[in-house]
Amino acid sequence: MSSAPHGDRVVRRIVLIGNPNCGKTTLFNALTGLSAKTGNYPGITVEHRVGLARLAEGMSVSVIDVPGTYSLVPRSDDEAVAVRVLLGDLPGQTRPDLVVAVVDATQLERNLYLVAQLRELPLPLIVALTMTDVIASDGGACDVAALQQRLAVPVVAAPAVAGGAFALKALLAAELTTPSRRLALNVARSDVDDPVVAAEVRRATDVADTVGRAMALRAGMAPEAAAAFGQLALQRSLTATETAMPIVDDSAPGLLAAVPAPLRAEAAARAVQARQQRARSWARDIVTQASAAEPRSLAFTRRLDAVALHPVAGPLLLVAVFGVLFQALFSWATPLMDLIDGLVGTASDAARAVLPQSMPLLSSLVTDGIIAGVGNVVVFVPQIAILFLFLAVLEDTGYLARAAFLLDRIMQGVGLHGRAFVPMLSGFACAVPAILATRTIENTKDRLVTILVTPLVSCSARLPVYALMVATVFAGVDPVFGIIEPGALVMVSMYTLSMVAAVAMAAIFKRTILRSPTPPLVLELPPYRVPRALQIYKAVSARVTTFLKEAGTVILAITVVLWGLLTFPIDHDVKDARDRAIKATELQLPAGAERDAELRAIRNGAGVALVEHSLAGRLGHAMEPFIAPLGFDWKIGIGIVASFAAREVFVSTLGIVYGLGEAQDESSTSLRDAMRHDTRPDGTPLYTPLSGLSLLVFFVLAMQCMSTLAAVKRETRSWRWPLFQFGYMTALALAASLLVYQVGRLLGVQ
Amino acid sequence: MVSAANRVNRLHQQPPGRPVVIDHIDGVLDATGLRLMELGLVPGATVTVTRVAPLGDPLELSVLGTRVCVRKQAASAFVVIASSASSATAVAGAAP
Ligand SMILES: Nc1nc2c(ncn2[C@@H]2O[C@H](COP(=O)(O)OP(=O)(O)OP(=O)(O)O)[C@@H](O)[C@H]2O)c(=O)[nH]1
Repeated sequence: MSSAPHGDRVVRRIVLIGNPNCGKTTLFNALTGLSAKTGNYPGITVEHRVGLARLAEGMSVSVIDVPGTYSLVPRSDDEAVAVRVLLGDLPGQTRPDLVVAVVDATQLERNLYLVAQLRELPLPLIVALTMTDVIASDGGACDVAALQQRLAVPVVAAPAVAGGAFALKALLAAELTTPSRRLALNVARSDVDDPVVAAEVRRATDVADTVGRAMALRAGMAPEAAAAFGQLALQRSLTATETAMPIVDDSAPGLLAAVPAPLRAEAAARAVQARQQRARSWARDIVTQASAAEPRSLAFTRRLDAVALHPVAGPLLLVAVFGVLFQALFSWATPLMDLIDGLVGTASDAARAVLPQSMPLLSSLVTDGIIAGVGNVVVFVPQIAILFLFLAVLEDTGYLARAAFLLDRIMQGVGLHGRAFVPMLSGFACAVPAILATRTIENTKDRLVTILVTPLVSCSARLPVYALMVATVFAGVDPVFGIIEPGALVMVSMYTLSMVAAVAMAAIFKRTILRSPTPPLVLELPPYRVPRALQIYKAVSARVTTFLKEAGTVILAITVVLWGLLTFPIDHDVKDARDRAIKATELQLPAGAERDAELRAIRNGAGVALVEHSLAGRLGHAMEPFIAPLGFDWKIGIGIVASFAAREVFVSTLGIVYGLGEAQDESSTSLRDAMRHDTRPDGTPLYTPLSGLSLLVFFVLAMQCMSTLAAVKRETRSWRWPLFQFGYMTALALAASLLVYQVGRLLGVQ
Repeated sequence: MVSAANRVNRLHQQPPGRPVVIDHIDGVLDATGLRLMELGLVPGATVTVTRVAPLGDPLELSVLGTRVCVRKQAASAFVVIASSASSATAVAGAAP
């Protein structure tokens, strides 16, 4: 998003930077109104928002909202983007014309640390104070003029109340027209009494200054930036994060690494301490409280937290909150999804009626390919919308931070990032919204680990397959220990297997390809706030639209490809014979139930032959030698190929393969009977408890879901990770099924 | 200082509700330590452990008027002394 030409002038760029939760986004919205767009920088998954602000007659500027950050030494990709925008350190980007440090006046001293860091750089800077209305309503006051004098940069109060951004706009216009004189402060350094320590600090600082000069040169900034840049590099050398920051990393690399870490640590710690002292002296007595009593705004939060973080009540409330979320994803979304299925059916029927009878292939493409494909996309919308609605409300109220506080210990125990909880839980309903929800995990590698293992969590689309297999092969088996239904035991085992697999694979990935240090937990508990409807609406609609646009096209395309696999090549002999038989029957029998049954039998019989002749059928046959050791035959092979569309399609595909038509579901007795009576060439039954178990294990572990792959592609912005995921999950599934079936046979299990 | 080694008072050992002052940071500063310093946990700053999570970890701290949660492991790098406000009682308590 480089400067866009506007009229004959170049639009100038303003960046808003500030601590998380300081009110930056609220200010951004007040400045830009409805013009904001969410975008991505090339190659970076972190989103940023850009909008136009009209400051005065004929004066519009482009405003950039970057993720919140506590300091200019980033610990996450989000923070790195903020700093890189600020320093013009992104491909095709220049430095912004003006930096607005957004400062929460109710946490002045803490927020001024970032300002202290910014003041060390020769950047055009102003400070906007938010939440001043909170101070006022608590009966306190905030001395803006005194703060401006101490900081030696323009300061303006810009609370989120009607007209609050007015003064800010005026100041922005003035600063862009005639910038005030800006001098960078010296880098904060503390006096060190101990001569040994002083020498150490000096040694590290000297090297840092050298690196800083290289950085300033690279950034095209005045040499006075060198010391501040050196400090950034010095502190960054201690953080060992995976985030990219080329301006630091590529300038004189290695120089700092040669300085022993304790020396660097000492120097960095002194600088941070000196900066904090600066912030403290700036903040002293600026905000005055009416009384020594706790402000009203905080008392409410404290009372609520006495329950929400209570050792007993807290966890109970947490279970209740996420129980409702789970319930919503699992069952409240169902009527909407059924409605969508119904509409897809209606649309198909309508299309079939409109399209010429003489072109059955076109009609089939439109209904079974395109309309079904659109249905496959839209059907995810209810769950995605519900999940993000919940998340947005939880985030906006401040409860999500409390949940992280309560859950951190558990998630740390299973080796997953604390924020992986919501995606993993949602995964039990559906992996697609779950994968979109991994957004909240800031660390890229932890996010990838969560994305890679989430589809192992047993989603609701696997249930029909479980139900069919359990009813088919375990219905007649005697209860275990005389009381436990084998079907129930199998179900519980499958869910357990899925969770064990997810946690185990996460542990493996974290120790191998996605190795990264345990992310530090530094979590702020913001005051509780009333959720904002507009904010939430925006968050939900943004997720739904990007899913429809980006993952939707992939899902639609794969549906059409799968339709082609199941349709071509067409066995014309079978088809002609079928059409002749249908005609003859229609002539022979009067319209009625008997004729319908006869016609259905003809269609279903031909359906078996057509599918067997199709590419999917041939693929099923070709797979047989490979999947036979797992206890599967070619019919199951076709089911596996077809169920790539969605796992539950396995059931209807078996319906087609067994000549029962595609309208079979997991409770169909005729399908169960057909399966029970199916035999291998040697006469033994195909579906035994052992082969059934093998198939179940396969479905727990295999990546049988193109929509999930499309979502992963969308979230990782490449085909690399979805393909890797498909590969590892399929390999895992094949290996586990092979193990189950072969060991079972060795043990003499049927 | 001789027998102090095992009496060193660390932030994660503080009972909830008692303000303490950070004396220094033990060991080499890492990413988390640096971040906590940036949030105000610098030598000389007053900090209070306000709450322990139900499962024993993490801790909730109050520093610079904000509430920050950290793991015990990260907090253990911060060596603290009794804050002057409560030093009288602390000294009295340490008498035996
Ligand atoms: N009373 C009051 N509330 C505000 C003000 N500014 C923001 N808020 C509220 O503070 C909360 C956080 O504001 P955001 O604008 O989302 O903060 P942010 O800095 O963008 O936070 P990030 O999500 O970390 O980027 C919201 O609930 C806002 O309604 C203000 O000036 N006065």
